[in-house]
Amino acid sequence: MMIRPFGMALACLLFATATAGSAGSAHPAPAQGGSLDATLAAYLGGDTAIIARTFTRPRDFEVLRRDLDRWLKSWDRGKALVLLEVSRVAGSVAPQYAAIIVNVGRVYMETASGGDRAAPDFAAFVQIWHDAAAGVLQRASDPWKVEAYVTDVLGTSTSASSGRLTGRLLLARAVAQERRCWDQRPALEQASPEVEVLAKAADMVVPDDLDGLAKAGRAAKVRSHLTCLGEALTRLEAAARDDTRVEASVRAGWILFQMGRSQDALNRLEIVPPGDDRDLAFWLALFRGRALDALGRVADSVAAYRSALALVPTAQSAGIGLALELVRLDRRAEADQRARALRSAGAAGPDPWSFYMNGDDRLVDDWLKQLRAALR
Amino acid sequence: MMQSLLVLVFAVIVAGVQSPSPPQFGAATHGVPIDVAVFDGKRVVMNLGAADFEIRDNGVRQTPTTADFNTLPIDLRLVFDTSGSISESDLARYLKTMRQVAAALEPRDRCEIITFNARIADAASRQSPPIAIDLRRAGPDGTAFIDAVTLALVTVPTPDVRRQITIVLSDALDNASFFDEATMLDVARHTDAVVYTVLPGDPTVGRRVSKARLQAVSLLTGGRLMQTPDHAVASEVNKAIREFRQSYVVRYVLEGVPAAGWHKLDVRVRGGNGYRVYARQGYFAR
Repeated sequence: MMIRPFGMALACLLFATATAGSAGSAHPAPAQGGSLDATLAAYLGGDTAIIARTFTRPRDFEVLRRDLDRWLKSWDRGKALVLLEVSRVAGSVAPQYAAIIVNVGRVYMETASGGDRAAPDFAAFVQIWHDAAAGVLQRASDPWKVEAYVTDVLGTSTSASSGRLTGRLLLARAVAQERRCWDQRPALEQASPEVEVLAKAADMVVPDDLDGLAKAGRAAKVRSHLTCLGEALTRLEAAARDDTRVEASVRAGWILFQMGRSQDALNRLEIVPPGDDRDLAFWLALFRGRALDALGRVADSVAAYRSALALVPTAQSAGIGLALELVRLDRRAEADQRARALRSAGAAGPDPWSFYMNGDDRLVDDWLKQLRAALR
Repeated sequence: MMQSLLVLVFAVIVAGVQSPSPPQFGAATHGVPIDVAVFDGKRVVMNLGAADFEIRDNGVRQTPTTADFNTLPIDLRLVFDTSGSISESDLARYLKTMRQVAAALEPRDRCEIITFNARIADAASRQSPPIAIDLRRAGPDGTAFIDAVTLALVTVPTPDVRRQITIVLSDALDNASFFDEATMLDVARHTDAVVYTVLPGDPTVGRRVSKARLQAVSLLTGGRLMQTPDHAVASEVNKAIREFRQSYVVRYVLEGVPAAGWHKLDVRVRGGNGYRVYARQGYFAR
């Protein structure tokens, strides 16, 4: 994509405004002048891709930030939605701006007056907006920013915020903790005690400090990790609502597995997989495979990994799991064949494990569609 | 009568012990095969015979029957880290390395090349020279070192036909794997391949590495960790292959040890005080 200055991008939007009546198909050509109103008009005209075409460099978001105060005076659902779309694009182009824009949007949702705030569907609009905003942050920002956002939303007590104690926001807060634990897991950048024992048995000198941690510090890190997981578990239990109960259980099962409580993990994962959420059903099967393996139930683990692969045949996580179980069953040729097929497929196709830690980011596109529909 | 029965029971037990299933890591028709490399300082020790080796299997002394030196073709599996922690110049050097390594193979050898970032892919499927290489950085950003090595260690035994060597080039950092270190080490205990790990660059200069993680995989499988400056990666990989070719395949028929389960190995050279001996730490059998 060609990179152009923000002023030029705005100029492009003026043309979009002029052609908004027939927008949605052809991209606008650059023209003179422009404003955020033009962006909004083009967007409302159906050219939803205009956001990605306009904000292509970090500087574009910096310029936007300066202009927002003037633009966000009275309440307008379209403006709120454009902010959300811009934050999503920022997540790819300049992640440091995603949280800034989302928080501008949050304040706008709370404080802007006028417009259709008394409409019957306003509360639903606000709720979906916040859910989506948290989803954007889960991919674009660090867990602390996600948590701060959710805390700010839940802590707001205006009339508009009533009913915002949604399961999804609580789940986002739990996933933020889960991701913190994952990022801090002790084996990430240092050898485990088992590796040390192996190395020392072969007379290898293992430095006390592989990654800046003395041994005492390492033990403390392991304890701290367990504490972190325990907190994540508590938050997941608190997040179990009608719309989040299954996902909270799946995530709790994975946490319990990481805590070394494989049977508890399996018990937590004994739930009916959701029929309309392929990613969640995949995670459920994947984590069951892992827990069953840890319990020595190899044949059951094979079945679990096969279930996961039936949902997402390209998933390397489940594919590797299945190959490992086949090795354990001494079906080496079959395992090798499976491994070769996985490598041959390479990066083609999704693996839901790869976005497990991004929480609700996977749902943002659907929420944006709902919000767009609510504008009409 | 009682004495006869006892003798019979004892005979059955002994028969059971002395007729083991083939080891899982290498189903040999001529006994248990162990890859053994022997060095005197930096010099490879050649001209050793079966009688020169002393092998203990789960603590029980075994009798080596043969010690073959460089007779079988090799299956080489190269595993390259192409994740974000590896620069574009690293990538170009790796491609050059792959080509140099592939060019040095013997016609009867086979080679396959695996790359990984967050996803694992073939840069070359298993083939005999000349090797067609398709190296590209693909898929989402991230480093799935543990998943990639785990997958690369899934092997099929080829004890009487080929020897298997896997060479892993990586700094061993990981931020995207589903599996963990324990899983990787478990598969290392099952693999048929001898695994050399190559750590490029100077680990003391501003880089975080998990040297012990690489070392553990090599130790378990009878290979070794090699550290090398970036510019010398190709020669180091070829050195690993040469070293592997110059190692022995020592075989013995298992005696006095239950067949199934983990077999801890202790391999030494008689009178070889001061020799460095590299052999896998054990194997699984059913």
